[in-house]
Amino acid sequence: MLLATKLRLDRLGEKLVSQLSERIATTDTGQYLPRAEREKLAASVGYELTDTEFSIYGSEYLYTQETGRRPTVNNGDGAVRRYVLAYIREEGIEPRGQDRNGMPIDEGTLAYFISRKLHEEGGKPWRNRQHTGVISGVINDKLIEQVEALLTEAYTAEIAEYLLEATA
Amino acid sequence: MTYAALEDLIKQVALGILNGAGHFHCGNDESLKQAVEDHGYPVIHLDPIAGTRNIESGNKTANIALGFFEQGGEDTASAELQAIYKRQELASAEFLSMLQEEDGIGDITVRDSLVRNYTVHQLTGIACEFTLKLPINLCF
Repeated sequence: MLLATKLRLDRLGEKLVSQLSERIATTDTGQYLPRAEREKLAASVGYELTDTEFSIYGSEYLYTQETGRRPTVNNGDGAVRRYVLAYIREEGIEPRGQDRNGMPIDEGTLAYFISRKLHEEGGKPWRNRQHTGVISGVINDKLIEQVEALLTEAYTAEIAEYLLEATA
Repeated sequence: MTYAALEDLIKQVALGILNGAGHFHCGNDESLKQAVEDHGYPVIHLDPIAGTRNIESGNKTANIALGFFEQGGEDTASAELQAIYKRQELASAEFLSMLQEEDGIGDITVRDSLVRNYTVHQLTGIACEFTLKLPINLCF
């Protein structure tokens, strides 16, 4: 690809990574993921440009921020409960109510109930069959149209150059 | 000034900067690969010039994408990478300064981008993109 095409695609890649990272780090998708974990996910986003391929990549878990966490299939390692507890503390959520013994519910107990629901029924976007827009707000049909326009312009120039060389 | 004349002007300025230590290339990435195979590094590369012409007003512009490159690589140490960027930024500054002194070339505003590992030869350095308003030939 021409240098100018590479530069355009590099700028597009940087812009997309920046927009995605920002949305992933700052959007609370209602799945009790603490900010530090969202920032780790955001940091996993990158792009790669080769002579034949342009790709955006990121952590496998990223898509759960778009479509919601599915119900748990395998035995977990307690990570969900830890995240929920961290989220409760981060957001300053105060547990209300009492347990079956009449004792006030503490943060740990609340985290247990929330994580149990997440394990059994999945995250809120999954339960509501809704996309959060964390990814689809950036990578969507409108973007594809913009990329197509960019590439059409770039490759028209390149093809013209190849034809000129071929006929020279 | 025709596009061909502009290309020749850029080539002459580039060769002046290189002063025998490197080569100039104009063309697509395929011919660039061959040029690097044949002549090595460093290389000043120019994409084929494209532009716009307004026949009625006689305004003509040329879009320039120019690269100042050395050999990089996936495992290039950070210090060496910075040294390449610095050398090639200085080379590009010298080039632009000389180009601007040429007749018919006005002020140049450049968009710089650091480039790493362009093409299979892992060309690394700095790319400069700018648009030139070309003087119009009144006599043909």
